[in-house]
Amino acid sequence: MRAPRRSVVRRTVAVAAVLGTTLTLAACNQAAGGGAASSEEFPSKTVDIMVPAAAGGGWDSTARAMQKVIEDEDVVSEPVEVFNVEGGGGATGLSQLQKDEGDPHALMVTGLVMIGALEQASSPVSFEDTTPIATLTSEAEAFVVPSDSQYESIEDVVAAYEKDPASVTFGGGSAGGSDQLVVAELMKAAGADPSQMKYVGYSGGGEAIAGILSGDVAVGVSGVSEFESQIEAGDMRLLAISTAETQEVAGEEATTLQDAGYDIDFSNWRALVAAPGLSDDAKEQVTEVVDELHGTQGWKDALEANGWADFYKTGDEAQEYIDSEVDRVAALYEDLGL
Amino acid sequence: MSQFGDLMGGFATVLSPEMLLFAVIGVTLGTLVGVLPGIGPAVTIALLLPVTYGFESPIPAFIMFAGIYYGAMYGGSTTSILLNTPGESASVATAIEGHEMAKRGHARAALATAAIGSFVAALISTGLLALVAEPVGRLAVSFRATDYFALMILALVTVTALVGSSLVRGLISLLLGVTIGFIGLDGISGQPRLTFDSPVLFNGIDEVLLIIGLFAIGETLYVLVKGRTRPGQVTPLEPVRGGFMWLSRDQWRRSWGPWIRGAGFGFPFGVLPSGGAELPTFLSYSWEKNRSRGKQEFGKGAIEGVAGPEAANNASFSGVLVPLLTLGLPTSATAAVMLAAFKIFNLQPGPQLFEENSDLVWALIASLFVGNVMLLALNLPLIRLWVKVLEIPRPVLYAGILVFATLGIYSVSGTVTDILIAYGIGVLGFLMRQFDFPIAPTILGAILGPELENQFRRALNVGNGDLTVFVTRPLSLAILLLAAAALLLPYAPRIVARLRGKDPEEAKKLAFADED
Amino acid sequence: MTDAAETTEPALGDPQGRPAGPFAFGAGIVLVSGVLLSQVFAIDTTEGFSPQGPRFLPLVVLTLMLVLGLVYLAQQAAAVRQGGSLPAEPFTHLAAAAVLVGILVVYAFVLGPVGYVPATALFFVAAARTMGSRHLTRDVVVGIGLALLVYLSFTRALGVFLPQGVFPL
Repeated sequence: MRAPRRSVVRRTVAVAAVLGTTLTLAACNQAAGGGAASSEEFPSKTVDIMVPAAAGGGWDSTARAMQKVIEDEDVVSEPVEVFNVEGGGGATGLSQLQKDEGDPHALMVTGLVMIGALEQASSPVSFEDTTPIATLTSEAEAFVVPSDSQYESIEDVVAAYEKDPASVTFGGGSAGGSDQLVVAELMKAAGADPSQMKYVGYSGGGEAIAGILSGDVAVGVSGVSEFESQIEAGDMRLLAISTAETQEVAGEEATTLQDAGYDIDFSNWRALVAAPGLSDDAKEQVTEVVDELHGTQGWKDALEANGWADFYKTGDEAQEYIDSEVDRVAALYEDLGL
Repeated sequence: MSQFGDLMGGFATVLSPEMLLFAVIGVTLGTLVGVLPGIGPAVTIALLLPVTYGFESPIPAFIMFAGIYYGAMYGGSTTSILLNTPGESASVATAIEGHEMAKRGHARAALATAAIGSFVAALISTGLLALVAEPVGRLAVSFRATDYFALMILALVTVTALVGSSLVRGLISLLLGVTIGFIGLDGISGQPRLTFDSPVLFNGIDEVLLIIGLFAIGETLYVLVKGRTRPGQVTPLEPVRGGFMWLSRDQWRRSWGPWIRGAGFGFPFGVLPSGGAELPTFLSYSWEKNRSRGKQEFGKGAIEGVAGPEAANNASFSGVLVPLLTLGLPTSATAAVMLAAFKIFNLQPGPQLFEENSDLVWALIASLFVGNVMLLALNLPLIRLWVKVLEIPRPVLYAGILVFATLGIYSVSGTVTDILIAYGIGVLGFLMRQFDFPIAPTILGAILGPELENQFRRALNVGNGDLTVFVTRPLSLAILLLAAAALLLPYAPRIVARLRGKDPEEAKKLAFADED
Repeated sequence: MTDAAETTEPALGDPQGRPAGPFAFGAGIVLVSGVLLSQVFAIDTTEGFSPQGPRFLPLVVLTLMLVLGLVYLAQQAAAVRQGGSLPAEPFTHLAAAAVLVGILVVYAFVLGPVGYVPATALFFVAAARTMGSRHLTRDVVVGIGLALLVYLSFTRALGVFLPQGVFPL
């Protein structure tokens, strides 16, 4: 999740009578929530999806896309509400989720970025304090250089770094985020020391691109979609992407880090988790709903529209994946000296 | 001039009843969003994004979004002027003189010069967008961290007019803002700073909390303490004598210069990837305060101080569209959300956009013109209605402001902590008013400080810690020299006088006539 | 520039407050700068105080603010010594402001548990009364109307969450 420049998007939201009249239709299908049915069936009341960040960011759009698809395609009979709890890179939201222990109606969107934030915040709550439901989307990280760069391949970059770490300036999203982590992972895989890395953090995709094009940054690292138009226009050259599986970027099949001989499979994923302490039965039922959501055309359209890759894992598979990611990020933070 | 033909094609697309309807929805929503404190355009657009999934063509979506943004800019000035509660940082400069005008019964003229100025600036800057987008966009991305640092320094030394009557109090205000900007995770190293190890503060103090606190809440407390919430405190509106569109002949004469200069400040800052809409408003304010014909009226409601900043904040939006459309670079929160909208329709902003989807681009540009005409048509008659706000009984009005201020924070961040932080800042804002510390420098510090620091450290990081990077790049050096000149120039008459052995007091008056 | 500014200072000390006010505020600035300055040393970094690191600018800015805070205090002291009597317009409604802050804090805390509409309506009435309103019926009607309008347009039309609380709507 990348917050647009300068703090997170303005906290906002419109009101007003006019809105009321323009979007009255929306009001019609919004049934009243509440009701104290037994917790046997899911959902028996309004489903709350928490976004542990301000409105307008990546997690927020994921949650709102889910809400829209669930309501449009009548996946569940009860209404779905999205609300935001900002703070601590997600730590505040995660703590708040704790008070709904055992309630399958309390869901939260999360992702790789939050692991790092919890690590940095030395947060008392962790991913163990959730019930993972499913991973949903992922995005590969791209390594790019300006088109007039001396680096022709990712091996060139690694070679230059090995020779003199200070000679290569990397740049991407905020320090300690997934963009810096993937560089650390690459240097580690190449046998170099990641703690020597020169990394310039930018608070938004636009600023990072400007930094790369102006020549401040030698090698740019960020989500593939951030750079796609520059690559297409020929302003930037794509050196490699971070996932094991390749994908088409600007009409050409991208080289993966594994193709280049570095054993890395790294993606910036987002997932849905529930409050801790869910019964197996409840977990099963929530998973069924998410399964149904995942199968709809509406969700496929939403993925396509937002440029998200489908990255669907549920049950033990999701649990194991998230656990391994937690370990990986912890190790990388150690290496980076953060 | 092929652009002209393309633009006419764009107008042909936009001037259909359906498109005009979307424009109306957009500008109306935007105006409302702008009027409410803390409620800005970026998240409104983000929330409306899912609505566009169902659209066949992206054009109506963009027409609506552009309307929301401009509408918010028009609406943002309204509360600044009438109530001294700007809803976003780009309206802070407007509040300084605008509210003084309202207090003296010139609310209508202030609202009118803001609306017309926004319109004029939008026309100028959209015209520039249509004509020079491509080369200007290219130029803007050649700015490096050292250049930005130099530019921020230049901005800092030229906005001294904000500091007000006391250097000490003004600087304390400024540094307070810079300090608030430090709070949170450091953007460069990722380390928490001044957070007292509380993760609550890791995201820092959002500028919106700061604005809502210092203005909406601080102003309410101040007004209450001064006893101005009691009945019988409403300043009667001055009757409009002659003139045209609420402005007298003299006010027209005094406004057009600031409008054009404001547009001149706003557009280039919008174009720069790290420019923003706030700095040009402060620069415009300072320029008018020091240079304009009405400078002796500053502090008492000078119309130039409203006309300039309002023009600047509107012009910056067309500027922001330059890197967005030509390079796919989102350089503001609103632009980032608009980029997401482009992607929903499978469009890649960038150099090819002008070639492959030129219909769309020209329709968008045409819609900016149309949206602004609508906003002017909407806002001028609305002035009659807005000034009625001043007749709302004060306790009801200010209780309502507090409700909306709290809502603006809660609905988006959802935490009680953020609300409490804003209230705390509100108490600070009250104390600053009470002891005559200017508020605007705090906002400027909180915006400029982090930007300045980030660019400074990025530049050093890139240059391996060598401090000479700032003077070895010609562009940076030139801007820094300009800053030095701007700093020293006001003293030139004094220095010359001293050299000639005259009384320095005499000469100084020439430079600081505004400090009376 | 400093002397230029000082000679044109419109009033000595705070023009409206009690003499103790500016002193307390100045002392507060000095205190806060001092505390925050000590926090600068708590920033975890390997770069020490180099200009590139995260400590450098906070150190500079906070030191400067501390110094300016002391200058401000000195100015106030000088003003008292010179003029003796500071114009002390009593702020008659200071107590009301304190009450209002209290009401705001309560509002923030009850918003979630009680629900948006009742909390907002109650807050509106209480705030308006604190600010001198003597039209209870009007305030109640406006308060409930405003709260309902906001709640419905946000939750129904925009899908933005506001706490529903004790009365299901």
